[in-house]
Amino acid sequence: MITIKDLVFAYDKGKEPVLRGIDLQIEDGSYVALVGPNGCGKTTLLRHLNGLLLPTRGTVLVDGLDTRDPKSLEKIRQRVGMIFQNPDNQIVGMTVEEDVAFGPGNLGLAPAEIRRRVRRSLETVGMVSYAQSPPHALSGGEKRLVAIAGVLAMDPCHIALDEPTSFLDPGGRRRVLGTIKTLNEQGLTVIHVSHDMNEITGADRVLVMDQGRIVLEGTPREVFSRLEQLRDLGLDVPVVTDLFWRLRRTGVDVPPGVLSVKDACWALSALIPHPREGQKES
Amino acid sequence: MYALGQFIPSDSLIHGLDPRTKALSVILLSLVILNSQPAAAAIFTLFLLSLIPVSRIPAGAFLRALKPALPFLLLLFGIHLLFTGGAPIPPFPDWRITVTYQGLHKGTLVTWRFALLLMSASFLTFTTSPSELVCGLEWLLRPLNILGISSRDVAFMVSLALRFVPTLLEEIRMIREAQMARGASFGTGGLRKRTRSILFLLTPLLNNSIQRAEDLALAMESRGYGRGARTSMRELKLGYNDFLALGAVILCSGLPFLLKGLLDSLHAG
Repeated sequence: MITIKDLVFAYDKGKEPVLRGIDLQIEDGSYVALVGPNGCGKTTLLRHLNGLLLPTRGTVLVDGLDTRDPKSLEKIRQRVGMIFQNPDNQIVGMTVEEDVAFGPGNLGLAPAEIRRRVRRSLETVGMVSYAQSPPHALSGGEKRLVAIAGVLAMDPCHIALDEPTSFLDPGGRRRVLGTIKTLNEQGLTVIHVSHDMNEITGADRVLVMDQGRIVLEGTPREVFSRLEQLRDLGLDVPVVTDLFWRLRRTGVDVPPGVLSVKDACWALSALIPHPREGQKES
Repeated sequence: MYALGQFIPSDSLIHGLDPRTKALSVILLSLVILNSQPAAAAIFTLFLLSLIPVSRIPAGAFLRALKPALPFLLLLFGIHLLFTGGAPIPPFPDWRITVTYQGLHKGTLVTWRFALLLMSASFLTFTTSPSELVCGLEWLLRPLNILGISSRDVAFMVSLALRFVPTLLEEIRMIREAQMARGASFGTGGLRKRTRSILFLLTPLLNNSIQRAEDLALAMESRGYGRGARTSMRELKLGYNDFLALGAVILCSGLPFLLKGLLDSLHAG
């Protein structure tokens, strides 16, 4: 479990803080989405989770370990895997397998164990056949998957991803999102920073940040029903949610907070009189 | 696509050798080649040529590897040809700078040696993947550890640099296109204009590289990189073939000296 208490952070002393008092608890195995306009502090908050940044005030506890304690930093970084926005700048190996081996190598594991973990991580993200490829020969989506494999090889309990689908084509996006979902189903905590509301409708919890604070939080249904508030922050809601919100405004009797196409189908077919019933009447 | 050292994958005997064996062999061969006389150079040439089929590298690849060095080889030959004192070859006048028999001999020998040197080094880069090379380098640099310089850190730096070469080349291409889209021209105009256009290329490249380095440092830290000991997925192990190969190289290196000794003793006798 990750516990954040009254977190305040400023890059320089005396400067305007970027984070202004964040209280947050992230349960083990949950899928938490973090959204907000540019410059709201999402990335800064994320970097507190593995001690890349240390709180100016307040505490960040990862499974009970304080990020300000230098002795627990190594453990914290093994527990919280971090995927950065640009995969090109986090792949360090000359080949895919060497890159995945970097983390476990830093943990000082035996070569046989490293090879086992590299194999397992590449299997999880479906990149085994690329083990010998140089990173520059991969597509954007494949680079993201390699970055995820590199983190998985450390055997983390939580993974934090900073806009893992930016600049990807639809195919790459689907693969990356599918992998994240699978990892969550396998029990990993996922903290997913995103710009695209459509890809986080499956999250357990959505946190909306603005100006260094969490201004809205709840299930995707709860958060996306606050459409006007999100619009004021310059954020969008999923297209389907928007459509149903407009329908409701024009007086159509549909339920609020429709998130997915599947939900939408149910809601719409409930409006249409059942054809067989119609036949009976005539 | 850019390929470093032109590593050509295969499962030949030489590909399967330990990178250390290959690196040590090249070092040893280089030493004896640089001191070789024509007879010895001929032996080494035969030895290297006979290795080509063993390595399953197409002979054309070696010629291509020599090509960029050709101007240098010609220069080397020309300097020795012209600046070696001795008896001039008939049509050339007896001036201070002229073509001499000694010059021809020396020029040929020196150029031959360098071509052999390049060829033996090509065997290393053709048959060893960059990652194996770095792994071998790490081992060869271990004596540095006594001086407090971590050979692991040095090897890691080399591999990071190699990993980012294609990325930076790609970035240069992108910056170039972006500048050209805004009316810049590269490779035309006078020296002054060309220098200026390269500056327009280098400044954004440097800027981006610093940003990259910062991101990279954060990512490495997140993945537990630190001062402490690190391990690798690779285990270097010398096998039967490695000892065999080292033996062959040592034998070949010593062969000219052995033969010379033998001939000398025959003459003396």
